[in-house]
Amino acid sequence: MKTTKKSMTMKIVSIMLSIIMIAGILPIAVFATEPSDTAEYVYISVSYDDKFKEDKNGKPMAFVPVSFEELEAVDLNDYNLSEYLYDEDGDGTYEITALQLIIYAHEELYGGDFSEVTFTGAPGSSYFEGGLFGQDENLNYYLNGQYPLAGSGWGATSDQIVLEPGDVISLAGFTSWDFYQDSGYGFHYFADGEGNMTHKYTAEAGVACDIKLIKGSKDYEYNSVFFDVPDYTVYYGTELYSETGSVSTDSNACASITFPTAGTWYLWADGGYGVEYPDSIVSAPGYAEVTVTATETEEPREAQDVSEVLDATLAQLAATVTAPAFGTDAGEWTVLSLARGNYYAKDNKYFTDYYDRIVETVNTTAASVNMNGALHKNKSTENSRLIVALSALGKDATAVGDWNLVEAYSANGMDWIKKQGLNGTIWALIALDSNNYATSDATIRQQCVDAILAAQHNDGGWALQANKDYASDPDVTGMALTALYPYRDQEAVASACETAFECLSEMQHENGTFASGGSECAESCAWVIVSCTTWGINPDTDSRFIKNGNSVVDGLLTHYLEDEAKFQHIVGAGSNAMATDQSCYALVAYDRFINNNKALFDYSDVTFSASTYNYSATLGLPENVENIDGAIFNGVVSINGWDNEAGYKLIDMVVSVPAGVSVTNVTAGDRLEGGALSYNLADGKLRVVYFDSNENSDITVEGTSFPTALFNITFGVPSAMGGKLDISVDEMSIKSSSDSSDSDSIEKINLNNAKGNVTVTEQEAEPTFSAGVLYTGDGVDLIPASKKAVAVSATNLAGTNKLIYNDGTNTIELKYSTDISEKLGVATYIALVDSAIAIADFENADYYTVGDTSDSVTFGDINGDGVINAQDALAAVDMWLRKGDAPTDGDILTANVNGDGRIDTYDALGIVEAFVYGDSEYAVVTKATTIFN
Amino acid sequence: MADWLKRNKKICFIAGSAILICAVILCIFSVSEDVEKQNSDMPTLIVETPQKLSVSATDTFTLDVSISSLGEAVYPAASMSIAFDASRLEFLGVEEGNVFIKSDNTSGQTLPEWNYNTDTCNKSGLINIMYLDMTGGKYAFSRSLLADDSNVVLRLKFRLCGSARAGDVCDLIVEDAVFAASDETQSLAMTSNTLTVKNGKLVIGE
Repeated sequence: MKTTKKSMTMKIVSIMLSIIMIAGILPIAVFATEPSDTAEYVYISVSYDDKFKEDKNGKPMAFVPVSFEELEAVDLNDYNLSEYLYDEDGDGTYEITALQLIIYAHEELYGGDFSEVTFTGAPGSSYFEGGLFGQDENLNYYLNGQYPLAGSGWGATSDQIVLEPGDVISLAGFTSWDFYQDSGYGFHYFADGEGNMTHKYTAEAGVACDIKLIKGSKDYEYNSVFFDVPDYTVYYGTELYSETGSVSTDSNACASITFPTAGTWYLWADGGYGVEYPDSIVSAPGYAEVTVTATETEEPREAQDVSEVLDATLAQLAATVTAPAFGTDAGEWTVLSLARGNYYAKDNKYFTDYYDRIVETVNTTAASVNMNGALHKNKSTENSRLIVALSALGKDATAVGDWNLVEAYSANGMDWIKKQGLNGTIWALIALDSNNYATSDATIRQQCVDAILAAQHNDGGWALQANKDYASDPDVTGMALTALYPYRDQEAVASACETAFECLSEMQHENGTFASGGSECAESCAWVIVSCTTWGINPDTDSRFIKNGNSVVDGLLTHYLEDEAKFQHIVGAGSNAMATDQSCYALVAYDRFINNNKALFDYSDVTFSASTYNYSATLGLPENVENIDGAIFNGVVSINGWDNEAGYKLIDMVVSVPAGVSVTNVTAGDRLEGGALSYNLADGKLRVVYFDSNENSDITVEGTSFPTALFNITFGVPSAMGGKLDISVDEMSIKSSSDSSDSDSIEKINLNNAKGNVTVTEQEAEPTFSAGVLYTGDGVDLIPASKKAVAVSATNLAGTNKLIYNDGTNTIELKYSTDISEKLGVATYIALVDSAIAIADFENADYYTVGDTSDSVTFGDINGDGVINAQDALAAVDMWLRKGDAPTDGDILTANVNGDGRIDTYDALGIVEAFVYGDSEYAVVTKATTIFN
Repeated sequence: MADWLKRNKKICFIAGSAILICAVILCIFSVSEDVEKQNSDMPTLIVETPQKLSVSATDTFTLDVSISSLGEAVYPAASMSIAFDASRLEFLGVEEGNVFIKSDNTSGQTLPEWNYNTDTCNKSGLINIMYLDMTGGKYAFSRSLLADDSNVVLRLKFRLCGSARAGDVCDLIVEDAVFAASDETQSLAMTSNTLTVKNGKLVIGE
């Protein structure tokens, strides 16, 4: 007698029940998990027409796992189906068959009662005649996508389909009987990349998942076949039949689906209509699950700590550059690193000694160059580099020794700044912003910004080459970005810099480095780091500056020579001082960034030495004076600001006057009010005092533009006197009370630039010329960027002489400026000329022809009628409004009364103000007094 | 006969001379009338002054500056320079007149805002006043905005200085004035003889 598995099953069931009772107190979620070992399960899908049939809980019965334990519990004896017990291999143990699975599904899943199912036939040819899953006999089932065969050409019935772990039974019922005869008959399944049936996919959220749809069927000889199912709709969603979207299979039955989120997703394809019986559903639906994992992202890169390299490099620099001095090498850059890297305190002897050396150098060099504090005739970066270093030490660059290094930018203008090309402009801006230095020419900063923007290359970055088609250079791009940062609120700047960072990112090599001139070099990496940190971008973690896992910081560090604590310009080339300097301050910038300190060039964290001076004075003198039987010339003492609310009562001044030179007159500036002037020359000292002895009134200055003239001094030179005359304002103070013990009662004036010299030439009949730039057009309002206004002071000309400049290329008739000539005491002409003409050319006497009578121009008298009134103010407004024709050069010269690079409503207001305030001086005239010295 | 002829010649000469003189006088008057007629058509800036001001008057007083008419153009700017005796008069500022620079139903009526500086004026004895429409014409003087009768452009506000004495005469002389149009040929300006002026004379009495 054959034994059944019932007794064993009962034992198992008893054990299981015990386990279930114990486990009943555990969270249900424990049982809600998917089978961990699919080998112990078989699966069943039940469909009707195009959809999976719902179980007793309303859930579609698609690919439902059923454990063998559960199937073993289905004892056919209990259903009076003992004859269907099947021992396929004759080992005395009955097999688990698909019949048990179907009974289980009908009762446990569907909730039916199998006793109500009409199950007929005989073992091996059993037949569900009706009632199964509430359907009639018109059903069909497949095993693992295949028509189950008991033998060739003979189908197996459920009672003899022996189940193996992982088997899938697909049972489908149809309304129409036509399915048997239609070529579209079959069961839809999904397939893996090999085309094999699968009910499980894995995918990554946000990453396309490839799927394939096939159909299991049989041919007329009952051989199982799989067909590709092209052009068929596949749905997907996080719940079956609750679609999030759908795709259509392509001609290869494939499709790609990108699942947006992690989790379990479901794919399904509905059963389809027939080919020959297009009104009948003839194929069963398909189903698969997709386990979607979160997008695999790299671990967020943690900003690396470079302090070890930085500390070593700073120590090396401090040890080797023991006495930094003015210069590129072993000079300002090293000081910058050591100061911003906080290697030494600001009052350390290392820095104070450096400053002493600098003062000495500046006094000598600036005097030698003699260009308003410029340290080089052509290289504005000499000033910029020093200002950047001194400001890092908290030293005021407006008072270094006897010189104001900042004034050089305003006094010498963009001509000087741009002589080194874009580099000069960029560094001027960085220097000026290092301590937010005030400039007497308020337009200088914007001129620099505009010049940098105008130089942006077509690829979005910057390079020293003027041709914008050239590839940008990372160093120059990084510098430009750094310079422009304080102006990021300007729309044009923000836009340009966004593009530039994209350009920089594209320049980066796979090893993280950047190349300049074709070579991967430390300096390029350094400037990318500086610019990034300036803009708040972490160059070590921002994906824009990481290539192949290498950041630009990594790239820079590849140039580091640990043994020497130095950097190489190019890897393998040995250490290099410039590479070490730039790499070091780049690491300082990075180290400051990751430690939330101010950016490398943001010195708002630096404590500056309290400035001794609130105001600076300048002395304007003509460069040359011809002495033909005696001569006179004027000196103009100007000041760069004034506080009308301060209650100033008195100004005094002492001027050194060369022996033999007399002072024929001293007058107060037109805008100075509230006092009376007294002066006396004795022992070579001109003493001037200005105050109201009767009412002790406040001394005020009309208007708001500066600098403005305080005193005009007319010097007399006796006949037969020549040579270089040094004149200087030695002392000047502004007092608000007579209490000398009150330090607040006196304003001492910075007199570093209140000095100059005049070359007196005896008996020189030929005219000589000195020239300066009044302003350069900014190309915004009416004055083209290609034009600049020059002023040429000429000796030995009566002022009524016509003056024509001809350098062989350009012929220009200059206009006699009544205002400036009167101001300077020397005949001075002005003209609007091509910016490309060097200012030095206007000092070449060979280029001039002197005629009989010159046209004269008066600032503000735009219509030239000799009267300045509303007609002129309106003309300025109309020019700006672009009413009428474009202004002539003459119009521009007379209309631009404030001497900036454009004609706008400020000029109109300037005319109004001058009219209302009487004969007050236009800013352009004041400016003219400062450009010759 | 010869005497008669001689006497008649003398009479004829005298009579002819008299007729010639009369003709010349008539011509002069005729031309003068023409000039007068022509000038009467030209816009005139008038400094209105009272016949007499008491020296004991301690309050401030105003003098109207009016315009007789304007041309066809619009005038976005205007200025005037009026000399006065700063030792007897203290210029205190400008008060509104009744000549608008804009008048419409939506934004109402707008009077010009004049630019001037009293300190400078009193120091120099020259009242420099300017109006400038920075829009170039939206707020401009124009004939259409003039009233039918009196058109006071502005009012000059003064006070007598302590040094003023009865019998003093203070002239207010318009040294320059212009109602400026963008097309300068249409401007009304003293410099181009397209604007005449009538100076003021202030007599200080007891």
